[in-house]
Amino acid sequence: MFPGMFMRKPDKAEALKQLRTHVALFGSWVVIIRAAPYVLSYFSDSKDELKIDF
Amino acid sequence: MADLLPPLTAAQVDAKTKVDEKVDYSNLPSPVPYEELHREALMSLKSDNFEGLRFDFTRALNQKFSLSHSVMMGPTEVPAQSPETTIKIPTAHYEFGANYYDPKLLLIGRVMTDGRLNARLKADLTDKLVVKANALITNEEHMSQAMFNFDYMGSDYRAQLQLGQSALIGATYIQSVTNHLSLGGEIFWAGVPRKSGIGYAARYETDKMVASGQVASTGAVVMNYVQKISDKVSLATDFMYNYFSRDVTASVGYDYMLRQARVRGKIDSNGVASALLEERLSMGLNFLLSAELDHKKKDYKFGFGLTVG
Repeated sequence: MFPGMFMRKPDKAEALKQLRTHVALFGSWVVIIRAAPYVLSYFSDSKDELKIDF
Repeated sequence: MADLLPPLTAAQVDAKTKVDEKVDYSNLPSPVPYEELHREALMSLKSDNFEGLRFDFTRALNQKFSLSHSVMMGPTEVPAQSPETTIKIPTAHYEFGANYYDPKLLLIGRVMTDGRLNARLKADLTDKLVVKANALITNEEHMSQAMFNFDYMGSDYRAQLQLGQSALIGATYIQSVTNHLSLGGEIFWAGVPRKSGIGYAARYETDKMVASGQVASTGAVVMNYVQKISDKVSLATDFMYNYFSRDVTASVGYDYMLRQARVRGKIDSNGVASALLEERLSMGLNFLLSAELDHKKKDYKFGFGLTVG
């Protein structure tokens, strides 16, 4: 905590730019992992169809 | 059951079970909370070692309300000029606590003789929304702090919003991807130093093992692995690394559950070995023995304690 207090405060515009980047990355990652079960479910269902054929 | 079969047969049984297991993606389990990602490893590797005397007494006044008294006597480490030097000052604390527990509401208060007050709250607003808050109030100027947590539990995911003083905002999300694998992420913004950060996490667990990893833009990398040897024994290992500071620590530990006692121990790459014994002497009476040996610093800590109630 104390070392952080002595670090130079970054410029506000630069800090907000970095924050926007982090928000975009976080949002993308949430979308990806939210969609992952649906994608896996789709491929899993495809396998089921193959099994039915056999 | 698996212990009764020869190893090869056990392996075959396990393999067959895994092959037959069908993932129902519309009915995935709820993941563990993001802040508990490493909880199995923490049980072994972050035990509550202490130095000196510890005495805790808890008395229930009724079904929901209880009071607690704690006495701690022993040296306290103070910051020293050199990291190799350890300076300790003898101290003693008395702590008074009041607790309220209801299935939907948990209140915990602690006040210490040095004037510090610690408060915690957990409230289930609905089946899916939980509010947690904690506060630390001190006599020292600018040292008090507070934190609020809003946890939302979906059927196969958890989302969390954190608010703290000094314009601190954070959010986490964790999602079950299969029955055994969950992936998560976190983001925070600290307004006063104008810093933001992002982190990613993954966790894979079965009946017998848990593996978890975490990486963050602060440079921190954490990896854990816990293997359940039997119903009574777990082995754990973790690896912590910071890309920017180049600090690195690895440790291995065990958690051994006996009928009346629990023993946890660990040794890490900094040469620190520790162990904690918790034994139930009778109903409501627990005995604690703690030892931590830092061979590099020549800092040796031994503690004993009693818990009543």
